Amino acid sequence: MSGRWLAGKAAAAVVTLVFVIVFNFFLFRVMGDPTTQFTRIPNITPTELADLRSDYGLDKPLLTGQFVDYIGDTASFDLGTSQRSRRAVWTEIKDALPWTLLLVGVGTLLATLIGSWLGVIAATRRGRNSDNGLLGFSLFTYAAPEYWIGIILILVFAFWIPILPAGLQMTPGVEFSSWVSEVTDVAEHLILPATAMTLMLLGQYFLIMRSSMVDVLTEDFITVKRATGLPWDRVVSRHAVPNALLPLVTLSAIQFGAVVGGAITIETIFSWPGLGELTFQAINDKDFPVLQGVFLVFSAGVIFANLLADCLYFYLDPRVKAD
Amino acid sequence: MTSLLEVSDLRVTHRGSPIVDGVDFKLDRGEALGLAGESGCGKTTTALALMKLLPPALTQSGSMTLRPEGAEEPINLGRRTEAGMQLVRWRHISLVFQGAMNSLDPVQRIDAQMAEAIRLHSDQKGGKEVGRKISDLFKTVGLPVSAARRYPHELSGGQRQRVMIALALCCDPSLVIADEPTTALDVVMQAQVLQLLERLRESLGLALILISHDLGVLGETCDRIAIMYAGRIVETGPVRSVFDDPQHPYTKLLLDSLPVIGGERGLAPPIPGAPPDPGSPPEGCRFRPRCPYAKDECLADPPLREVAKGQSAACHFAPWKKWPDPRAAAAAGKKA
Ligand SMILES: Nc1ncnc2c1ncn2[C@@H]1O[C@H](COP(=O)(O)OP(=O)(O)OP(=O)(O)O)[C@@H](O)[C@H]1O
Ligand SMILES: [Mg+2]
Repeated sequence: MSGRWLAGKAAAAVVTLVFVIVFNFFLFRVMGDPTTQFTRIPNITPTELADLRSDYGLDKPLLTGQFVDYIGDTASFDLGTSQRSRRAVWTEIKDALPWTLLLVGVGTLLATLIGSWLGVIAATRRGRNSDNGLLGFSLFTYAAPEYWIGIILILVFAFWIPILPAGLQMTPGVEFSSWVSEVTDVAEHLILPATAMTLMLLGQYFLIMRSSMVDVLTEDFITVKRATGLPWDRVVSRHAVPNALLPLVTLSAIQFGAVVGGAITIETIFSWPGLGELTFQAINDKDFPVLQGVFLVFSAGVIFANLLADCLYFYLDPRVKAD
Repeated sequence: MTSLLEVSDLRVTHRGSPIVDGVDFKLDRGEALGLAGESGCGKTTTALALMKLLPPALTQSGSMTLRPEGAEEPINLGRRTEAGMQLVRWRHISLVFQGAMNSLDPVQRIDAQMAEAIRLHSDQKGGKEVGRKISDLFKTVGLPVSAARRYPHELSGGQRQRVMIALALCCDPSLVIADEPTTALDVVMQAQVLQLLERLRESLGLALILISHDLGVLGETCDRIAIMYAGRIVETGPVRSVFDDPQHPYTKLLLDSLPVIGGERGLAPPIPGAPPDPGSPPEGCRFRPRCPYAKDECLADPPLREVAKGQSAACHFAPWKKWPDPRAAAAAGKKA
């Protein structure tokens, strides 16, 4: 039954999330005493240090004190306070999350659509010039580091041909007359980072779709569909592509980890105020509470993406329901 | 009476080396032709060439003329373009494939796949009409109508092969090509599927090209039989004449190697040696290196010629009145 299958997958996701939460706690304790950070403040006295430690609850016993507090706080979305901005970590994350979702969402969507479309084209023209060209292009974007792509884009489209903004999510200090002009402004700022994101992800989607299509096209049922008199383009679109999409769905979920890594770089280069940039700043400032919170959100994102992929796979492949 | 299908000098090459090397045959309306031969002799390639479905690496030539019932003019398959072939495929010739396991799209329901083929070749676009056609076909091939709503993986191998037969019939073709339709099935299932094919052929007046390396199967189902060796037909004729009185040494040895149930020997001697590489066939008769009766004459290529009533063979020494013992003949041949 499909309900039970879904419940099982969801339960597995929850268990993974709990494991991540527990792991997250110990990871940040293993990395050392956070208060060593404060000793960089010049002339700090031992009493001030002790006060700080008790402020952060670091004087309590590790398991029975700190761990219990941590679990309770996390469960109520209290992820602590940023050491840099003194704001609640959850608030910082809530402010940054929509920007990341926008960038990652647009980038992933475009990369999936364009990558798989090009993959289909290459597979149906295997060995010809167009296939070789696409293969070269995608291997190039796949191999090129995302910071390099980002810098080239800024160089070309913001400096040499200054038609697009080099960074930020919207023009600072502007009162927008209507929401339309605000959306247009954001969209203009989105173009370059989203292009970088798309180029970063495109190669893998292309390569997977291409090889998956090449496999499917050698299957007997493709010959049978051709034998029924179905025109080739419809054999491809109605039968080959739906079958070839299956590995792509799995890839998208696994890719999500790479997306997170790419988001950190790309958001930093384009000063895009998302989770990636937040992470980069937190690393620079050794802002452990923020890092811990961001790790948790990223992990939850990866777990959720996998769950989503499972559901999609379930919907796309009737054979899954059989087991 | 003009025949339904006339094939002459059909050739298929792969980078210049021949795979099918000049095949000629005729098929009458409602007739069942069996095509037999060792693995790799070009049976599937011939079948695909008839529908112009060969992979791009293979090129074909030769003339193929189809005269379906009711068509005013014969269809010259050899000259048809891809677009023209799309109108012929399934409408006039359909195919039951070797290995039915993968012959259906695994992520689409069976009725959707059948409806697609039906709509492609008829004006029946209405869902009800098409649905009725599908359930009729399922009844014809002995499947529960509910199976149409299933996915291919939810059926057994035998059921899937029946689905393939139903699919092959869905546009009322005049010719069905069945390429080893029963290889993946157990003996009971095999017999059932073959009986089904035979029954359908009689009731629908279908012509059938049945491909198999199982001569027993062909003997039971077919009117005529063609034996292929290394890309050529070496003997063809009515099933009974060929079985009772083979006129080519290859046919003779093939029949001798059939296990006789209840016979003295459990396992018959296989034909020694292996079929030639199609890229570089031996000079003269292709069977010469393996033939126990080979003589100097065999260095010349024997044409396929009529040697008895309706029966042709490609052997210099046909007609054979009686077959010498192959071992003695082979020994004598070596001495000479
Ligand atoms: N796409 C291809 N490219 C190159 N050679 C091919 C291709 N398809 C078939 N051949 C060659 O053509 C020959 C005949 O193959 P074919 O599949 O027609 O044999 P068959 O008689 O159907 O054998 P089987 O009984 O095993 O099905 C084989 O030698 C095979 O290697
Ligand atoms: Mg074959």
